[in-house]
Amino acid sequence: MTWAHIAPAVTAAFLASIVEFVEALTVILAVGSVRGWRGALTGAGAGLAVLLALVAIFGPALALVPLNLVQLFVGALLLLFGMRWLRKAILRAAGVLALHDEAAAFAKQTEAMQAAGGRATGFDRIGFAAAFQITMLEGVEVVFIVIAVGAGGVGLLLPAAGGAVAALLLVMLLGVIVHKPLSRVPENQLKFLVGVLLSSFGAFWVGEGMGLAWPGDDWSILGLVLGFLGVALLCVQFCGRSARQRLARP
Amino acid sequence: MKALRAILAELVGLFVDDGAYAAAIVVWLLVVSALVQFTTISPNIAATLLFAGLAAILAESALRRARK
Repeated sequence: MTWAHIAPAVTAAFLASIVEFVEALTVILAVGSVRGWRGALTGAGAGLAVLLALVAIFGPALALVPLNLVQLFVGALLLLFGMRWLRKAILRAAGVLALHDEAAAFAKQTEAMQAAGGRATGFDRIGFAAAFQITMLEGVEVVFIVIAVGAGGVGLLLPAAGGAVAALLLVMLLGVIVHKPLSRVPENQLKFLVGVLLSSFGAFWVGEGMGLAWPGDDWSILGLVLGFLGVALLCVQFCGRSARQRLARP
Repeated sequence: MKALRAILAELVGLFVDDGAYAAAIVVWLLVVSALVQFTTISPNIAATLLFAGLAAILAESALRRARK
């Protein structure tokens, strides 16, 4: 296992996890501030426990399947996932789609929690369910990325999981310090970068699974990263111009 | 039950956003795989073709969406 494998895997897991955990934090903060922290934190904790169990079960289980099959199947899924993120990030950067707004998401969730009615005197099941659901929804993406990135090579699961845990701790720490949605985190730029990394990993592993010979072996991951990045940056320019022309039409 | 349905929908949504885009990626993977299996194409050229096709699919899909 070389740094050419480990560094992009850890970076992809860390950055992707930051994006997802920031989105989950916004909802958990809204739930906690409206319905109380006990239900919100218990729900988030229960969600995290389920997610950790998923990684613990499916991560090592994939090691039992022949590596080229895992690379082909997981690589294809990673490619679909990464290219979906990358396309969306391109369209957001070009101004075709609206950027994700954490402050607006917080206001919307706060309103929904207030509309859900008064708090029960005992354990708040609504707050628990809302926090559990958002932790699962956002966390499932993190679990997929960790397992997919970790399954592509022997010994990659732990570094990828480490990247995700580091992101979780960082977002939790920032949440405790700032105590409001992390709306200044450049989510779209992170998504753009993660989309590039995951698309590159996906393409590399699908190719390996098919039996292709990548020029430069593992170092071609870096070439793929530069290739996808270049294409994506060009797409932002062309999509932005196209969208402006469309808006300018009478 | 509602939460479970939302999680399942999120699972599918992880990979498929624009159906035509996802289908084009899968078809291209099958085409390159068939080329590798059934022709004498050089593995290096096949790798380059794989990337070029994916890049073209990304660009076409993003531009198509921007023009809508």
